[in-house]
Amino acid sequence: MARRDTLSVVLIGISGLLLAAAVFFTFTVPTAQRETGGDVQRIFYFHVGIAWVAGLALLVTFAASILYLARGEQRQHDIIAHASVEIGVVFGVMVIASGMLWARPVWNTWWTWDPRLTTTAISLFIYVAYLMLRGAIDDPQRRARFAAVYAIIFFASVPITYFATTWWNTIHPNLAEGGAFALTSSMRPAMFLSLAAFTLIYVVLLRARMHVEQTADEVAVLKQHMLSQ
Amino acid sequence: MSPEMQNIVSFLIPAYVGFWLITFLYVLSIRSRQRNLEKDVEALKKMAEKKQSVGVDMPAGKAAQITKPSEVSQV
Repeated sequence: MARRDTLSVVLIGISGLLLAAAVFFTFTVPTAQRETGGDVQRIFYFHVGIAWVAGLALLVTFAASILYLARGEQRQHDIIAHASVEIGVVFGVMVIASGMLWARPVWNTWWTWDPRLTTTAISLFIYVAYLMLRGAIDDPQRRARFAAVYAIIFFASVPITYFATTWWNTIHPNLAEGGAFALTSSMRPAMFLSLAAFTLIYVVLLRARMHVEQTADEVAVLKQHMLSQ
Repeated sequence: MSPEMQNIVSFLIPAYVGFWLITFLYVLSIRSRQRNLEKDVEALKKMAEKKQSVGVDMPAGKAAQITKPSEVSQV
């Protein structure tokens, strides 16, 4: 337990330092071009970091769900999948919120049914439904199996969201294509520090959330033990 | 205030504050769930010890009432 706490404190410390450095670079890189929103474009550094974590969380859920079904339905894989989806949903909400705050001054609207925005919203609803459906199934084994199948099938929404800017005509900036949003050398430190910091924050949150599930399992076992006596 | 400055105050700062607020609330929610479950574990362990030391089974009706982790701490 003490070793677990020490590791968490170390991870929180490192992610805090990385985030502080990322914020410093975010606010000191030269002002972006006018068409990308001027100073408001600085939202981009953490909008991308948050989006990366949301995608990573759902990718981890996808992998854990495959492992759950492929390796004898081990509870640990279900715990990872469940914990990661919750973090993915929280970060998904933040992706949309930060995107809206950038869009308002640049596109002059909070929301538009652009392919990237629409697919992001659909993905978010899919994973909110995952959490709701999990809560509706009482039998733990059936619940875990159903959740794993659901997570594998609906993970398709994540690459669709990612490639939406390539496959369809969209007004959302496409980093891969460059243009006004091309990552210049002065922008790279802020961008990569943000990505590293948010990844570590995800690891810290995942460990904490998994611990909650493990304690819930302990409660269930103790209750079962009490009732069987 | 220049339009650029107005954008910073209206959108950039709320974006950063909002991120920290949501993250903080989420961490609080994880912590609160963890605490409640730890209380439940403690309560259940105490109940089990009590049962062992007294050597009397918990009444069936009382045991059946324990259905949710949050209820255990209240027992």
